[in-house]
Amino acid sequence: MFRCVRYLPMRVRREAHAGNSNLDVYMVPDWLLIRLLLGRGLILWLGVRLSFALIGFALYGHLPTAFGPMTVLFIVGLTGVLELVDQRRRGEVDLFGNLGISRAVVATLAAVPALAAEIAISVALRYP
Amino acid sequence: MIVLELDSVGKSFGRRRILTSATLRAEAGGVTALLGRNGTGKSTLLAIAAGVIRADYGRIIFRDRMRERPTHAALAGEGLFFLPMRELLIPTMLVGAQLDLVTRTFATTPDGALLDQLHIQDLRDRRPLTLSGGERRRADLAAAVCRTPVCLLADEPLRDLAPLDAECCADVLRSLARAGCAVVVTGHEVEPLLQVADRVVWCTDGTTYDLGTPASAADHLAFRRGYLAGA
Repeated sequence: MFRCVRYLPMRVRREAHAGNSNLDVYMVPDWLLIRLLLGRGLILWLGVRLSFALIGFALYGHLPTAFGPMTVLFIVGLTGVLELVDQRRRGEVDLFGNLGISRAVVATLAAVPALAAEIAISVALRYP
Repeated sequence: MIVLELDSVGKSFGRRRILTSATLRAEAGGVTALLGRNGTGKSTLLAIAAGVIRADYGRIIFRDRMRERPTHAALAGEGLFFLPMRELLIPTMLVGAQLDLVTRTFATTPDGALLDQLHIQDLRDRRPLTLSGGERRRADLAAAVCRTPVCLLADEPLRDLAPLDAECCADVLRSLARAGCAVVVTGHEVEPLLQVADRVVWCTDGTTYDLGTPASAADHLAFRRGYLAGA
């Protein structure tokens, strides 16, 4: 179960930190790390999007701009997974772990720009 | 008070069985030295204790709570700090920024004297990428000091350190324990480790033996023959 310690009531937080609670205590990443992960997520999304466009070009002979909802979800998920791989490559896994930041939070934060950008694209294409 | 307890832990990598039934206890205010030959599973046991890898079976209790599927992040949120054998800090980010990050995240007040002992002031404005192996080790240990952990698991913290630096880091580990932290260290630097340890655990043949104090460990015939050799 994911629980974010800063959003819990003070009593529960105190108990959790004292080890008296049955909650798993994860930490909210510092703003510095949030910015870092969002930025990386954006770059990764651009890379994934470009790859998909190139694959589309190779298969159909034109650059696709719009993708189906399942493909969009796949792109967003892939961005999150790629950030986990990238983080391991950079040797940052242990520090993030020691900061109490779970891998799920890392993947989610990296996927946020991808999701936002995909929503923006679909809105722009629907209401040009 | 026992902060961390691993009981009958087993782990295999493919067909290679590393641990069959290993036990480890970390007491608040004490330093436990986990010693053993290369490939006997010391680092694996420590990584399991930290939630970095998952045991195949066995019981893990941290702060009086049984952990079914412990993750590093969840244990770290409750006061565990894992110092891996590889570098801990992000190579391209300033050391000072990373230490501040740890302090800010957990709202801790690190012991300034310990940080001074690690000569961290000289390293704050540098990136780990530009540091020597010994300086990196000191910076990693400084991150642990900034966390003020309840339990510190340090995998070979004295590796490749000059004798003076090793002594300095060993002193810091001792001071952390004196402040109430449960410290577990591994390594092959027998002399400084035995000096700093309160208890010695011998990891061999997939299991562990609690040998008691360093003095009784040094008198243990099988330990001397099986690990210390001529030391």
